[in-house]
Amino acid sequence: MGCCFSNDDDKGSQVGDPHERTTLLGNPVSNSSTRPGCDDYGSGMKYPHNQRADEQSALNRILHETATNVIDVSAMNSHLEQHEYLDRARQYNQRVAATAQKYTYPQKRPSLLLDLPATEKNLSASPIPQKDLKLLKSACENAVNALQEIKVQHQEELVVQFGIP
Amino acid sequence: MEKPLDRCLDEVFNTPGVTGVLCADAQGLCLSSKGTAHPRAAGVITSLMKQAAQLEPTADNLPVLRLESESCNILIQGKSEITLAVYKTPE
Repeated sequence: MGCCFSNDDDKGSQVGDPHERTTLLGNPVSNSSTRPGCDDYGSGMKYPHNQRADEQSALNRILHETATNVIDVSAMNSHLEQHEYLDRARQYNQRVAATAQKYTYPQKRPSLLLDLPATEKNLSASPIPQKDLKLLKSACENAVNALQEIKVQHQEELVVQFGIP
Repeated sequence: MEKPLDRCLDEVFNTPGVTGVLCADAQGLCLSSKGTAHPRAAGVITSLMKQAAQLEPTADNLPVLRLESESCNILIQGKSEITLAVYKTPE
């Protein structure tokens, strides 16, 4: 900053075009009206006090700028009636529907269970009864045993002699 | 010759609720069928059992399948080289 030792340069930096010595935040001290002893070249003894005042004024300025930039929503007069809510909801839904019509989504592939009208009913069905399982098990064992018993029963001679009187 | 198998299927067929029985070999050939079980279904039933068995190849026993419809339930069980299908009325 160098406000105590180079006032001329400081003025030039604030007024003229930006260069390598131009401060980004500007010089809050030069803009403030209360600058105790800044113009005095021999006031080097007050430097700590001046620095504290500079920081305080810079903080105040930042706070002021932040306060002006923030939009206080709570303080706005945004009271809506019930029918206004409904109108806006209807309007938003119409716009969303109109926008959605522009896009076509790919059709899903048909599911294996598409032919079941009530899938949850089938999925929650009771398991196979134990008596049916017993029936199946015993029938299978009996069938396997019956198959092993299948034998070729020859009822007539396999070799037939022809022309022998 | 195949009387023992017929007798076995008759026992199952005479069970209350059973409307048909079919027994097929590993190639889908119908060995015997009773009631509403059509011999033409033997190949499909055997194929279904083979497909279902591939779901759990490491299982010791072949699975039991149950096909449900409004008019009929079909229970399918495989053992060694045969596949047995029992047609039942839904309870």
